[in-house]
Parts: sequence; C-alpha cells; structure tokens
Amino acid sequence: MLGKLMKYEFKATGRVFLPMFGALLIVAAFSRLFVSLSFKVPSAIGIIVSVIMIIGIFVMTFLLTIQRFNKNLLGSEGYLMFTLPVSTDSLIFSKLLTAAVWNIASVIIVFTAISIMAMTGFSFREMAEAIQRLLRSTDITDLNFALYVIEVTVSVLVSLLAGILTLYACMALSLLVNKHRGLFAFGAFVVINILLQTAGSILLVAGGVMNFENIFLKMQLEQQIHMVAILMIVLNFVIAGIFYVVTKLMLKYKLNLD
Amino acid sequence: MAILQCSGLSKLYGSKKALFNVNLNLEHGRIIGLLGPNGSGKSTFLKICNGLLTPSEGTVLINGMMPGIRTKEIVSYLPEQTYLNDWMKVSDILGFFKDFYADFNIGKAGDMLHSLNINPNDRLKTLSKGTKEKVQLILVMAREAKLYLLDEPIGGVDPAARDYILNTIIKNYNQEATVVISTHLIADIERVLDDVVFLRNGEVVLTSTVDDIRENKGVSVDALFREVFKC
Amino acid sequence: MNWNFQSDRPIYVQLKEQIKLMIISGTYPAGAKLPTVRDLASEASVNPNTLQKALIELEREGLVYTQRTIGRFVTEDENMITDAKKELAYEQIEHILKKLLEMGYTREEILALVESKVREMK
Repeated sequence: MLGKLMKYEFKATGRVFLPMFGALLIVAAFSRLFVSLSFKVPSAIGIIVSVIMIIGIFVMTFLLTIQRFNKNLLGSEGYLMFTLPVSTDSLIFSKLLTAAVWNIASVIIVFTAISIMAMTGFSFREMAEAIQRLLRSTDITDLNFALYVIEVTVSVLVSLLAGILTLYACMALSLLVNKHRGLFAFGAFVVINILLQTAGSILLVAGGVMNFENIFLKMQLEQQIHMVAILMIVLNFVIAGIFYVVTKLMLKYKLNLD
Repeated sequence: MAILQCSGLSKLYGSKKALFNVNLNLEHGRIIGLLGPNGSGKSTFLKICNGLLTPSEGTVLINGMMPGIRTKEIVSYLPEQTYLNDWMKVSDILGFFKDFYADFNIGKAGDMLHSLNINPNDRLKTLSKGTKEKVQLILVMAREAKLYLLDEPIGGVDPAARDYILNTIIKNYNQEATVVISTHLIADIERVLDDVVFLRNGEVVLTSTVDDIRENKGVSVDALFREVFKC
Repeated sequence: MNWNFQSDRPIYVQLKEQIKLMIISGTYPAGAKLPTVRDLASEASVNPNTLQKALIELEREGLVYTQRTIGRFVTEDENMITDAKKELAYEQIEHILKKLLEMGYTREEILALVESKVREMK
C-alpha cells in the first residue's frame, strides 16, 4: 500500500515540480546562450529570472512539503485518506519519502541550472575530484574516501528527514487546538527549535565538563571527521524518531477533522 | 453476529458530551436511519465508527473488529464534507478507489456516472458542489461493502437528486449489507428505512423498526420525530 | 403505476394492497412473472426488505408463489384472483354502504341510487 500511496503522492506533486524544473533548465540554457552570444540585456534578464526561479523552487519545495501534509491529511481530504485501508505509518512515510525525494531533486536541479549558466562549466565529477584532492592533501587515504562520502550522504539524508518530520510534528500538534491551527503550528515550530538549540547547548556544555574537547582535539583529523559525521547522524536520527512518534500518535489518537 | 456493535460509547469534549453511553446493535441486511437534529452526535458517531475520532469511553466493533485497516476494507463511508482534491479528473479518482479498495466495482461506477451525465474526463476542480456530492455518492455506492455509513447523503441536494440518491442506495446495496443513513430530513427517506435510531444531545432516545412505529403508534416516523424533538 | 403511501400505516401493508390491486386489475395477470424485489423496490422507492415482506404476505394469502431460483409469479388459479377481486369490491361497497346508512338512506333508496348512477355512467 505504501507504493500505491507514493504513486499518487508523486502524481499530485509532480505536476507542480516537473514543469517548474523544466522551466528553470530552459531559462538557464537560454541565459547561457545569450551570454555566449554577448547579448547583454537578454543575458542579464535571463540570469535575474533564473535566480528568482531558483529562490522560487526552494520556497515552493518548502511550501509543498507543508501543504501536502496539511491539506491532504489534516484538511477535508483527510476524510478520504484516513478511511483508506492503509496504516498511519504508510500515510506518514508516503508523504515523508516523496517530500524528501523532491527536496533532493530541487537541489540537484538548481545545481544543474547553475552549472549550465556558469561560463566555466560545472560538473559533479570535477567537484568530486576537487574534494578528493583536498582530502589527499590532508593525509586521508583513498581507501576511506568512500566511507566519508557515505557518512556525509547519510548525515545529510537523516537531517533532511528530521527536518521534514519536525514540520509534520508541528502541524500534527496543532490538532490539540480547534482554532488558529496554523498559528499554533508556527508557535510549536519556534518552541521546538528553541528547545533543540537549548538541548544542543546543554550537550556542548556537558561535553566541556567531560573534557570532551581535549579528547577531540587530540584525535587525528580523520577521526574527527568520522566523529562529527556519526554524531550528526545519531542526533538527527533521534530527533527524526521522536518527531515521527509524535506525528503518528497525534494522527492516531487526536485526529479531529473539521 | 451484528455488523456494528457499540457499548457504552461516549465522546466528551471537555465537559460537553458529543456522545454519551451509546449502546447499539445493528444487524446485517438492514437500512437504518440515524435521526436527530443538528448537533445531536450523528456525525461524531459515524466518525468514531470510521476511526476518524477516538472515543473517550466504550467500544465500537465492526464485524467484531475495532476500527482499523481491516474494518476500513469493508466499510464504505460518505462524510458530510466533500473530500475530493482539486487536481484529479473524475476518471482518476475512480482509478484511485480501484487501487485501494478491493471491493470497488469500477464498471458500476462508470454506469452511474453515465446515467447522471457526468463526464469522466472532467476535472474535479471544475465540478459544481452538487455534482461533487453525486460523484462522492457514486464512489461510495460502487463499492460492494458490508457496511455503508452515509452522513447526510441528501442534505444539500435538490428533490430530484434526492430521489436519485435514494434509488441509488436501494439499487446498489446488496441484501447482506447494512446501510446507515444519518439525516434530519426524515419524511424524504422514511420509506426506505427498516429501523430508526433517534439521537438527542448525544444520547440514544429510541430504537425501533419503522413498521412498529406505524403499527403501534399509528403515526409516521416523521410525525413521531417532530413529537420527540418538539422545541 | 403511481405508488402512494399514507403516513400512519406500515408501508408493507400498503405495498401489499397496491400490488394486489395490480394483480386484480390485470397489470400482472394470472401466471405472470413479477419483477424482481430490487426492481419493484426501486420503482416504488422503498426498501427492498419492506417489499419482500409485502410479497411474503401475498404468498401467504396464495396470490403469489415463488419458484426457486426463477422468481416470483402471480398464481395461475384464476378463481383465486376473482375471489380476491370480489373481496376487495365487497370491502369498498361495505365502506360506502356504511356511510350511506349513516346518512339515513334506506336499503331500497340506496339500491335505486346505485342503479340510476350506474345507468348514468353509460
């Protein structure tokens, strides 16, 4: 059932994202063409439009991440979604995974558009090679490179999921009130972020008390990177887990559709 | 075994009782009217049966099961609100139901659309409110479910559509299935009901067969309703 | 056929009467197959269970019988239909007679009135 839910989730969102992505790539391609033909005014306009579209894509990705959850589950469409013979887990995961895919796709498309526009050209391969060169210069062996890539990738993915789940949890918490749910969700977001910051500071202080800093500084750079990456993954995983449970419990026991 | 059993069912919002100590046994093969004025708890009751609300106390069992995935497979629910999204075509939402409900008869749904002159290629966004309600009823009645829970199916529509809706219900439910229709417009649906349940302020004040009311009290259900709920 | 229901009597009783009338008047002649419960119910806009109940009552009276898996039929016994027709006629006549007697007419006067009215109709 998760597969079917995701199919419809991609259909519902794809019709917004795909034209947007297509438009950005086309505008970027034209901008580059104008630049290489030295058409000053059109290339300036093209670049400005591209920049606006890039900002637009990030804003839209963020808004759709919120809107697909809020409208499709907590709005009147919830009457349809919550009476389907599917589990609450499947509903949350279908939204979460689809949103994550579009967030990643947005970043990739924006990078692609920028690389199209950039005069010198940009390639992921060159970037990878550059990173590799950088790492080599710091005594890090080739053998470990794959491990770093995996750690960084996992860390980015988990923090993305944690971020999306934070938004979901805030919206789900707004089920506790009957009026001004949007305002409540925003308030919850602010409070949760303050709490997370505070928790972070406490962890840092605790680390200081336990003389963690000295231990850390004595480590080799290689170990330090591993350390930070794994710490980030674990922390974000815990955050994601907590907000997933909050979201699920709210949807299961406090659902109250208008 | 009753298709729907509830015992001691209550739903409280603070000190307000949306439902209070409801005990009901609804049998297979009946058409049951859930009757009461606005705010008497009809929608709350149906939402609980569909797992859209958690009861404060008591239990609901559908075919012996608590509301969940298994009961959603056999319950066909028409909420009061329109839940159609704005990006699908009529044919897409039919496909959606086919994908999720094993008992959805897409051919039947197509026939009903045809007889109501609704074009499957129309976008849901462009349909009038009345047409949306008809599409939802078609989606719900084209399922071969064991229990149909219809919340105010004739509330907002004109008398001609009302007749069509009642006929659709009569024609499409199989005789093993149970249909619960909540409404405050009793005169219009009285002739299709087997049993009635009167709700007032969240409490059941009467359960009876329609024949009993007419035979023993010599009045229509509508007349009895007006008497019971006299202001 | 126009289906009308009074609000103070059970619907199945009224359905029974109206189907009986259709049999007597020849809408469904002796031996004819009746429409399915579902079709009849949808025509009269009533609950199929209620219609079923009316038909079972008619079966009990012998006017209708069920042939397993094929459907329901009007009895082939013409006498039974004639009897039912007569019975219904008597019911109506008794109803009128009662009223006329209440109005103070004598039996002879009633007979004369009926005779002249029937003549007039021709």
